[in-house]
Amino acid sequence: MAAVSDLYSDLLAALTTARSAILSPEWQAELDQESSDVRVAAGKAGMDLQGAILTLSNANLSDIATEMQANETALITATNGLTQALADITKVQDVLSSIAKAITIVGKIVTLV
Amino acid sequence: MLCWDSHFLVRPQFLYVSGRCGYHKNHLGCCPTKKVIRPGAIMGDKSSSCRDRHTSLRRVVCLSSLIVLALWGCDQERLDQYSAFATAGSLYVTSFHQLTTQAGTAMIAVDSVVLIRERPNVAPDLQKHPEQYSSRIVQHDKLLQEHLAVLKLLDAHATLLGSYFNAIAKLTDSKTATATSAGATDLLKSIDSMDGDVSKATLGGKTVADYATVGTAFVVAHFQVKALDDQLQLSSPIIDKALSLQEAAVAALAEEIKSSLTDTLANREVSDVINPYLSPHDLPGSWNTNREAYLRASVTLTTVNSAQTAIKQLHNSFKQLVENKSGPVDIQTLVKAVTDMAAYANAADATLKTSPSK
Repeated sequence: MAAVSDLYSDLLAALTTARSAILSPEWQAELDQESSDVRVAAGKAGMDLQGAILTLSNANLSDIATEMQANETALITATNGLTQALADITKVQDVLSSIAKAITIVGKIVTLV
Repeated sequence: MLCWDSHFLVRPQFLYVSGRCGYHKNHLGCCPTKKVIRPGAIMGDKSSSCRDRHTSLRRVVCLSSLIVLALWGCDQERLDQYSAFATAGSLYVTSFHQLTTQAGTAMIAVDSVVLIRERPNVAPDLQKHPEQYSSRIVQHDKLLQEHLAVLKLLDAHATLLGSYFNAIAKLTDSKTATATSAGATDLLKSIDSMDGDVSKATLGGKTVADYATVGTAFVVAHFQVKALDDQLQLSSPIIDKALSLQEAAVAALAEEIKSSLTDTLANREVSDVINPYLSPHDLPGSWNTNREAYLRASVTLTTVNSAQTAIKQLHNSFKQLVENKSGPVDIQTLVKAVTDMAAYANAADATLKTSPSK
């Protein structure tokens, strides 16, 4: 079983890396080639991603340790999936899907908007 | 240097004309000779045993005087160093306030960057469902306010520490020590009380206490000024913990600033430098100014770790001052470290908050 602090650190690192990616001009260039619906979905994903980062940053690890351990496998899968998807941001749907999965798992650990 | 010489060398007032032993006044036992001597004359024909005893006694007295003066000098030098330490501590506190302000600004800035960047993407939906986006902004604001409250607590903690360092510097003066002792104790109680709240404060998912590393307990030396001595015996574990918490807080804040500002600065390069250059419109007159501001801010960010060096040095210097009455305390290194932190803080204030010129 991974240490809770490592799970937390890996998750937060993956989320902040995702934030850097979606703020890049390369990502926006890919979105500009997509439909309006995809751009709206991407915009919402970006805002939700930032909300998740803020919520996790403010959370106290001792308060969320139980939930993190309970969702350990899903957390590791989501974190790894996000990291892999970000390796190729031209695959917009893969990136958006992995962001959504990560935020869903975060929502099981802390209360999101 | 005082040195109580024997009568047969230097001190004419110990020489008598009447044949009495000038050194021992009326005690002639060690000076069997009753030769008349002139004041100031060197006694050339004293018995060897008397001369040897005088020589040994003189050496002991001289050596003892030297040791007493050296110790008094060292103790005084150490007491003087408390003032230098307090001055460095004040500079650290000022720079720490700038650091917490930057951390708050950086967190707000990166959140705003995301909201601004996504606004055009969600524009068609924004008008249809404004309440969804309003709710997101309100939630982000609430989370940022919670974070700013943590930063404010850390600020107050640093301010108390700085005040305490100034108070103990005043305790080194035995004339004013008693009057300032009560004030120092009150500050100490406030710090002790606040240490608990600071320990539990959360940064980056961990409490500040989680970041802190626990060192070995201080062994407080004894100082001649009783008020200072009493105060340090009482305060050293509390101040040690407070400084450990400050080290932890600075480490967490530095990481936070780097993480937030990296994205903000990347966005700034795009919005202030690249996009205007690529735009079909005329390049704005402020383009070079904005470009320079972005570049300088990026370089400034690389020196944020100077804050960690400064607080670590402050902690080490306090330990040295308190534990070792006579050993060296590297105040110079401390002054350099807090000066470097201040330089970073001032540069960051100038460059990281700059909005693009039009």
